[in-house]
Amino acid sequence: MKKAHLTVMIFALYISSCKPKEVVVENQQEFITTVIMTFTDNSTGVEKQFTYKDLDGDGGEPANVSVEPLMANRTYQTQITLLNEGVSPTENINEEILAEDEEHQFFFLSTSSNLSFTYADQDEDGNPLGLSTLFTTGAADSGSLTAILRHEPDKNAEGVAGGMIDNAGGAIDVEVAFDFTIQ
Amino acid sequence: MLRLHLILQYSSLLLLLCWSSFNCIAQCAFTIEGTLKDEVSGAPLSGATVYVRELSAGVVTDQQGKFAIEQLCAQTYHLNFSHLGCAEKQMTIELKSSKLLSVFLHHHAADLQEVIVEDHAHELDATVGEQIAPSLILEHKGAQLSELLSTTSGVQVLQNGKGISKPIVHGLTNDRLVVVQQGVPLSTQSWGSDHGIEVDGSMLNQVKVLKGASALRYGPEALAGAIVTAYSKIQDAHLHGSVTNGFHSNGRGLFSSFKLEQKRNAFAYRIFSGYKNFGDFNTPEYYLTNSGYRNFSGGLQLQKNLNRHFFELYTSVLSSENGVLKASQIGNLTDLQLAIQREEPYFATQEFSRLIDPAHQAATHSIFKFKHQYTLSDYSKLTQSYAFQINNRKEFDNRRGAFRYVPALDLRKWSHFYELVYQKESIHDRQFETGLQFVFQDNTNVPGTATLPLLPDFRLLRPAYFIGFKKQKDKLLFALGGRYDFNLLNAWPIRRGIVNVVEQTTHINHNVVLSGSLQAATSKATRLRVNLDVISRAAKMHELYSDGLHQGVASYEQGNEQLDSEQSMKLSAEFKIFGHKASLKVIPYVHLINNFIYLQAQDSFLLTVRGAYPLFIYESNDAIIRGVDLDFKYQLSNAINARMMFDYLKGDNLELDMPLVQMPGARLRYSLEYAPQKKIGFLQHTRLSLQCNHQFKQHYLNADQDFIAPPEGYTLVNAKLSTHLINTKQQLILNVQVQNIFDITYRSYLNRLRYFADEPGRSVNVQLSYVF
Repeated sequence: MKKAHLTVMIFALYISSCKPKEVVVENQQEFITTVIMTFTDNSTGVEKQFTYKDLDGDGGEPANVSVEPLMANRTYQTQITLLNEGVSPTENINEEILAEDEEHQFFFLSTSSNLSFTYADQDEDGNPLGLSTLFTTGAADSGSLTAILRHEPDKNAEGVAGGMIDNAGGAIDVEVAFDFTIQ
Repeated sequence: MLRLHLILQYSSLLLLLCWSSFNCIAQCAFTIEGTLKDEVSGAPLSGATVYVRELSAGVVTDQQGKFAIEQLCAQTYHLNFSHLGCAEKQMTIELKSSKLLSVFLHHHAADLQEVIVEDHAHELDATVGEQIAPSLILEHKGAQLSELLSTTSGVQVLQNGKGISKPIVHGLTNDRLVVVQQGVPLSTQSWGSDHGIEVDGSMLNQVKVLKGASALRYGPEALAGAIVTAYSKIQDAHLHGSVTNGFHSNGRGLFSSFKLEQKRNAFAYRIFSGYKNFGDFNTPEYYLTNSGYRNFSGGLQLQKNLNRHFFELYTSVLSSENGVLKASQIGNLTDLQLAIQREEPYFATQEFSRLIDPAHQAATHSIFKFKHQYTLSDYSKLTQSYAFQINNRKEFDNRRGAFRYVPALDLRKWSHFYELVYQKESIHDRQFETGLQFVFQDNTNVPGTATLPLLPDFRLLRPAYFIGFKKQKDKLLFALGGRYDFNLLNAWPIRRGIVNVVEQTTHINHNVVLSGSLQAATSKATRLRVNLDVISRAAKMHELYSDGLHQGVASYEQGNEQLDSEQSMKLSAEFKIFGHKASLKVIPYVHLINNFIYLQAQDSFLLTVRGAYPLFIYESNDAIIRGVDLDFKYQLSNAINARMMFDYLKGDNLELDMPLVQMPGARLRYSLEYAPQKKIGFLQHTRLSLQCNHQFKQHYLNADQDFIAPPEGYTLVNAKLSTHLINTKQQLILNVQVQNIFDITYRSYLNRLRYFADEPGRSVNVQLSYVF
């Protein structure tokens, strides 16, 4: 009796361990694969782009970063586009951000004082969002610009509305660095 | 004196059962006479205690094992028989006339799973460990199980906030520690520092911490030891139960639990349930936003005796929801450094809330167990058990939009466990046990998370065979055992690329456990035990295949498919001296682990769209842990006891010549307890104690091994009062505790939230239990 019991058990286990599992590979729907900063020269209308692309997400192949040089002493209307190119059709994450604009804010950290920014848009509560900004270049220089998107920052904390990240808190959605030059 | 102490001990053990006395109606002239004998040898047991609960008194058997209790009335009596080295026996007698009894006590050593009562200091026993006192279990009904466990020496707590915690035994936890519930090794997601143990401590009545030598029964994962929790055998013919309600001021925690049990003829049942609801905890300065937790547990236990058969059905479920401190939900390395630099964490408020928001965890664990024991002869028995467990764990991250309510990790684990054990004992204190075990686990990522899983799907098949032998000769007890596990792991990792590909891999390991123990009664008042355990443990799934960002840990973890089994050798000793007033227990140990698997921080960073993350990869090196546990008790007077406990350990990576991370710092604890044997007014069994716990700073760590230096040491002062307001056949027990009396601000090295926030401040806990 007991032997039969055991045999059945071992057999069942053997069978179940042989049948391969059907693994579902998830679509990384909320993933951001691509960050594009488009700088439009206020005076000439010429467009320059900073692009970060990591199509396979975290790990795997490293990201592709490309930067076009900016011109000295100009003002640029700047627009950020966030895409998920890992799914088909490509998903525009900007729409998600706009739908929850009071929970998001962009910050820009530049190592050079010759590249500065001001916010050019607002969320529903009248606080800055940062999908649209105005960048101003000074003299020719080079440095690094880090674009950061925070989810659920404390927008009322000191300095946050002015683009100071220190007191913002919140989780990070995007943080990409571009090594730029100003000609 | 000692006997009185024993009687007190037993009576306190029985508090959980009942007190039942009816009024004396007619004359009280009946007598219960009897003889106590050893079940195996038939030899009379002299010096055994027969305790009558209704009289709150007991008698001791004479040289022939005989006893007599006179002047008894026509009513029901609860008798408790106990003898050193024997399992206790309870008997309920409805007395209508005088009775003559022959009572056989089962030799204690006969059942390896039998309770070991700490105060049986003379007893020889092959396991290094500690049974937690029932009064302590009662006091901790509102706390996490880990906190209860950490009251024993050598055990500290690894935390991820107040609601998520697990014990560290002799420096090791997670995959090297087995939690056993009602004879079943718990099968949950036990790999991260942010996965608590899924057992509700409030329902248990037996909790034991084993430090080594337990691997035989519980498998190679009991490398550091095992936490054995169980519900005792249902003994009494009357309906008994308990109801406990309590409140903790910190976290404004409410909890409630009840239990009912009865044995009718050969059938017994027990039903239990509990609920806890804690909101945000507060430090001396601010509330810890999103640090609350709630859980619900319930269960049913049925037992039936049928001639030589004993059947048990046990089922329980625990459902829990834990918030993860909002300030700890940061992203990459820059964020972590910003968060660390802050004096006060992000989102610290002065407002209390019970809200549990993302990030949070929701886990449900269900156990269904069937046990059948067949007594082959007076000396041998065959036991088979089957257990089925379902574990479902969902972890919610701070995600955008509709994904806010979609778990980022959703794991479902099914586990089957089957065990067949043969136990035999013979005259001259010899014992033998052998058995087979089968473990089959199936872990699945439930689709719908919209993200790639941290851990791939896997199946594990692990048949095992074990054999153990124990013999006592005069003043020596030795035990030897061996175990072999065949470990077959099939995994389905997703190879990441532009196109993700699923691959099937197979890992086969042969794992052997050898364990030996020798204990000697070196003199009347001293005991020495030496244990040697050799264990090999196969690398676990997450050590092989983790791939991703762990919930709010700000690090990217990667497994290593090349990892081989860990080979561990632990040599430990236990030295006990006990006198009338004082007792001392010293446990030194050396634990050598070849191929010790751990997460090694890499020099490079992983660059993602969310910035740079520190990269950690599982690696293996040879390591050594050595330490000592000290436990000293001293009776200052009849009513005043003092105790001092000290744990110290040091872990080293031998190959890289640096300290091991996440090792507990030294800890020194004192307590002074006042427990008068007389009533104070109407209060009985009153115990008032003051504790002083000092945690030393963990100095033994290189500066580059952590983001910040370990926090400073701290001293906590706690006080507690326990008393019986009513103590007849029903009892009303009041427990009051004040933790962190001076409301000091501190951080703990073993709490992952140390980077972000302080530990909770003062808490006043009040709890009322009604036992009948």
